[in-house]
Amino acid sequence: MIFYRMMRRNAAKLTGDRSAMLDLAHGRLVALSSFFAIIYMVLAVRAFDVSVVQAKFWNMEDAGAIVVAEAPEGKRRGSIYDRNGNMLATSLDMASLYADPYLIADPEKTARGLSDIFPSLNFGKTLRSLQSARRFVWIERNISPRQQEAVMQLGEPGLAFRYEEKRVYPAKNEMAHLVGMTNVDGRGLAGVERSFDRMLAKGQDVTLSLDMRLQHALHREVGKAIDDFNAMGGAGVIMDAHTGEVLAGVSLPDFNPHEPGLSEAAAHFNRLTLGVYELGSVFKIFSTAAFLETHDVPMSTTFDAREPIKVGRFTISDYHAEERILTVPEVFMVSSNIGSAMMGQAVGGQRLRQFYEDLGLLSAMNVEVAEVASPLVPDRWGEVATMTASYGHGIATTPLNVAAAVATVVNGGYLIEPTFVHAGEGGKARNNRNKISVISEETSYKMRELMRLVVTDGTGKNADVPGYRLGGKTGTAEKSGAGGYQRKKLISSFVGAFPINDPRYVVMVAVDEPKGNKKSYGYATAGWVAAPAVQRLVKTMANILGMAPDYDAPSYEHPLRQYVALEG
Amino acid sequence: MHLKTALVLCFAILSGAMLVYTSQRVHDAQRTLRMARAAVQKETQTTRMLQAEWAFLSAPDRLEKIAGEKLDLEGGAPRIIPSFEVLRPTTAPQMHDASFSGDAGEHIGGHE
Repeated sequence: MIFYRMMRRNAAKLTGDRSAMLDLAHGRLVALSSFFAIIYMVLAVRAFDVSVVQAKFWNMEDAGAIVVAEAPEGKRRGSIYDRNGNMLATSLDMASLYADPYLIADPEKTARGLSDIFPSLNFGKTLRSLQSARRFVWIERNISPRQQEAVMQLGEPGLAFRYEEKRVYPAKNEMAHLVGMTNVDGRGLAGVERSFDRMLAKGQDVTLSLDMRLQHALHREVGKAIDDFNAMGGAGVIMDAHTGEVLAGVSLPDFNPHEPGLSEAAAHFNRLTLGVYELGSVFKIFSTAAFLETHDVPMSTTFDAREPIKVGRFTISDYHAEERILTVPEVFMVSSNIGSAMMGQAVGGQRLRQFYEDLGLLSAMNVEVAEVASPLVPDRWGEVATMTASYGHGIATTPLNVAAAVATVVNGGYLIEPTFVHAGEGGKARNNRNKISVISEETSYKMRELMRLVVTDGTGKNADVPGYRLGGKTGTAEKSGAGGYQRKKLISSFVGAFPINDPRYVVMVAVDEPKGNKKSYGYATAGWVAAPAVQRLVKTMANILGMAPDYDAPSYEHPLRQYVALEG
Repeated sequence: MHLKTALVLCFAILSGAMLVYTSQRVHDAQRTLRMARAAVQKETQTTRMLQAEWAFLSAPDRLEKIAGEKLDLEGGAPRIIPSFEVLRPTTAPQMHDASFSGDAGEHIGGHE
């Protein structure tokens, strides 16, 4: 400043060129000073901004929040829900603890602290890890928030966390086959996880048609039937008879999707959609429907079941041989193979095959799980195939195919395509409302009467639940093996619908290789194995769905009784 | 010339101040947005965690086991479910409307 004043004083005494030079120097000095002054001002303002204005944002909580904000939320896999909004699968961020031994100040104290927090940790092993020369050591994967808090309380800078996405299945085994599972990279491997993989990977949620409560009831009853009859496995399904929505679907044995490696390979097999079985007499629902649809005949029409039928080298006989002439209701009620074979003959091979095709029994179901099988159909559909297919032999299909076809028969005759997606989500249930008619309302009505008769007076008596008018059909089929059909290896199944006057639900239970017990007098047939399971299931369903029993409803099967010779 | 310089300087300082102020506002807005997003994400994560926990706790098999073991409860028979037709009010409601004739209690019960 002093130098500047002296310069001004001297400049005042100077004139000419020297004065101009001094003015120039003066101007430059001012410009330079201004430049530096501005720089300093900017720096001062910025320092004030950073240290005072922005300081309030940088407390620990906000910093944590910002870190969370920078996590890739878009990559999180979507969740799967049941029709009532119950979570069936989701991805949660789980913290995993690791250590950088180089930064651990007191390995012994840290190892002791970690052993206290994680009882599964071995003190010696942990200490060795913490004393190693490596820079990264996993301590524990997928720890709980409480454990994480306890680790942070240790205050050890060498301990840190990594966040990993873990797929969680709250229903565990009960929905394992349908919901499926993912691999360690979060890609769908089975079930809905696989078929909706792209959608879920984008973070979109999926709502299924399944009802967790009904699923539990079905799982329990199929499991009980398997336990009671020491069976190899089983499958079951509950379906909405009008929309085709699968409300519950079970395949046993099953597996825990959290630890799939612990289960045997057989437990991963989905018997409901991937297993093809000869389901026997439940097919009489379809052959009888075909007969009634193609023949305008009264229910009093008779079939001679006094003698087994010989076709080529095959003999068709009845399991419970009545050895008499049977009417249509009697053939259905006592499950006569001979009578059904005759009905099939009357319909004709091509027409019967076409009818099965129309019901969706001869092709793989177009459903939202990848694990679906194509039915096994005779290569050459001749006379023998026609007759045996009439009572469910020589034709193998999945339980889901059969349940959907039964829904078609009882709902008034319009085609049902099963779906696992909730109708509200624009699933296939909407298509089912298009009402593609497969059989007439009249045939559907007659079939409902016949199915009710099976439960009141026929082979399905053990399935009856007073007040709910269940109708259905039993099926006991011998399994085919290397040496032909095996008499002691059965598939016992029952498929029913209720309330039969206006069916809302189709239920099916199939048990693989049941063994007779004391209670069943050694029998392992469907009437003893699958029918009681369906009875228990319908009772539970009524409670869950709040369906009041109607004890005063008129007897639905009554009109058929005149054509039936009842015992006693 | 001096006045001009002073004016330019003033203008530069004013522009600088405005720039600082604007950039500060942008920073603040970005920070607020980031924190709001973080809060939403945290809430979503918490909700997801709670939903999963709820699904575990309310799983039908777990409830059934607890009800059986701790409360000695079993599944009810269908006959315990009444229909609306058989439901009647336990006490007849009192009606004091002079213009209403007949048995008020029964009438209301019928509508139920």
